[in-house]
Amino acid sequence: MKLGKIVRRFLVPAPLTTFIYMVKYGCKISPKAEVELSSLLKIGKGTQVSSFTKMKASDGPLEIGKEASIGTCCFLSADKGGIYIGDYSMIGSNTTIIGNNYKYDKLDIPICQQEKTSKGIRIEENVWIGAGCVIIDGAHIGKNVIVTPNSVVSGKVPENTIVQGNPAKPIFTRR
Amino acid sequence: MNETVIEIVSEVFGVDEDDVSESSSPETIDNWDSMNHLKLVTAIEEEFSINLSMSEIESITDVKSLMEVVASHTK
Repeated sequence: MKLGKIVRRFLVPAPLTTFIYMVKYGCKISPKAEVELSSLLKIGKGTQVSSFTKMKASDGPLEIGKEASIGTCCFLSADKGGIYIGDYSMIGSNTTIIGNNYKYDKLDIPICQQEKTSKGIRIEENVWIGAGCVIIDGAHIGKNVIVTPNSVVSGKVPENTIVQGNPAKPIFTRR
Repeated sequence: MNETVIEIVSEVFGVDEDDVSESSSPETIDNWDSMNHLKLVTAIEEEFSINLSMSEIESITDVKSLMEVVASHTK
């Protein structure tokens, strides 16, 4: 690991990170959240990040719009494809958003040593994701979507729908 | 038409058709929660090729009112 990354990840006190992001973007990050100091992390004005949430943005861009909220104990890990979360979106507690995947086509090489892929994740504006959801790399959630708790989203979700299950499928179109 | 509605209700909520009557409601069917209510509406819309408004969806409080809403659209 590069020295700069070690310093940014482990040696900057959390209250200082909270203060820096508050001054830079006008967002509210809990001092108990684990948020990296990274130029690839952009957070909109008024957005809240709750305690015990971990956000990694050293390998790829992580952008969150304005007035969004990230619940407690979430894990957001951005890779080369990036993660985008739109304005006014709400992410429930214990939600995991992972922006990368591993190739597994070679049986003689451990999966962790095979190539990483990252298509990116896009969550449009005014999306409500219930507690305990998992959003996998390649997901694209349209605007005004509601994802019910404990769902797993891996593909495209049409806008204005309510989706449920693993894999998440539309059960209703909002009107 | 009413038989089809009862068939869909029993299918969505996973209850026997004989246990579903016009007076069946969220109080008498355990699985009739807010999420399954939306699934019921989607199933009814697909079966009868109709589109219900939000106020109509909210007015469905039992099987009888569901039948009335469907009847008003299939006249």
